[in-house]
Amino acid sequence: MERVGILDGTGSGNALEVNSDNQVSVRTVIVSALHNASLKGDAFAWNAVSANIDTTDNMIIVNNNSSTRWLVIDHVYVKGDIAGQIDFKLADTTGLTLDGTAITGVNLNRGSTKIADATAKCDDTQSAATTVFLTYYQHLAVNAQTTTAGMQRIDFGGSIILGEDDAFGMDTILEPAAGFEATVIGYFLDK
Amino acid sequence: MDIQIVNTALGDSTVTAEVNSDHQLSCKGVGVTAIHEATLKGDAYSWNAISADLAAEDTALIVCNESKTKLLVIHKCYIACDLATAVDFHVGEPGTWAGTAVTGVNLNTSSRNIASATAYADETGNTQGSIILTGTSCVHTVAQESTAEPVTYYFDDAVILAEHDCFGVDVIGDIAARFECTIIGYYIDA
Repeated sequence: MERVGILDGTGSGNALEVNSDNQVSVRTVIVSALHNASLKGDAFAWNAVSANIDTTDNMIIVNNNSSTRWLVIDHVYVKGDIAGQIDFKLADTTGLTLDGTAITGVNLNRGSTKIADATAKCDDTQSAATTVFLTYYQHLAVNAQTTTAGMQRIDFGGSIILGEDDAFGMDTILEPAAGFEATVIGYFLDK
Repeated sequence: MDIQIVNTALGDSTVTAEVNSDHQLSCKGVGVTAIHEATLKGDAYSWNAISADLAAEDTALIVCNESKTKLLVIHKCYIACDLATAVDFHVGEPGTWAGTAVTGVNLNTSSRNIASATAYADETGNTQGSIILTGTSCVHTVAQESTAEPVTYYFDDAVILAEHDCFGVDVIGDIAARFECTIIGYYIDA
């Protein structure tokens, strides 16, 4: 067996340390999987605002159309003008036709011309076909005469993964009067 | 050919690197963020804008990457204003600039690098690009006293601007007089 040390490739003469615990000493620049996907042009935002949402409708739903790539849901922003529950849902959309207003995914890398292989809708009515995996409470802050709905960010840390014809949706249980904002940030990953 | 990694850094080549029972090289690492790494190189900047009388839907702050060779990564953005209202974060093309020029501040004080970017506050010349997030500003009212509360939006380095691409922050409501908006970003090689 050959024994080797590792030298700096830039010619500084620095040598790699192996410590007394037999560990190689490393320094790592940590980038998020979302950033890495965005560098490849594979990260997208889907944004929906201010539709007249009925109590059973999805504010926003995003369906993965790709047979070769996963769609990873990284995080969402949501705000509604009514205090109440918001259901986060997953769905098998095989055989379903999502309805509502079409949303085009925005590529987060402006240098990329890739288009999201996904269908997204605002004010979709197929929420009955979905499974709730998280119920979040949207609160309103009322101080003196002012009522304010705060924007909430919910991180999934890449833990929501959609296969082909699988969808992620957000559904307000109570009917907002007029206003909501909902954004889904996700990225595609090779299977 | 099998090799064994030995310690040559500290002059004791009897110390060797471990490969564990899961067949992994044993390492002890210092993890740093990408923005820290960029700051060390003098490539991280902030663009800051305050206190203009924004009309409804004006752009509080917009930053455009002017570099042919580097990508501008948007890390995060602070926004506060004297009205609780929606805030659109959008990406798009530059327009005919109309506003107050903002100079990027290098976050590494020992660096002389200058941001290859154009930035404007209270900008009215751009056409709003594709909205990537509709956020909100917060105002808390306690005992008749209203206070604007800053909100931080983390973009997790996912927003990447090539040459002549812009990132803008539009305040949808008509604020009275006051806002604060800061964009933090950094350059990486394209």
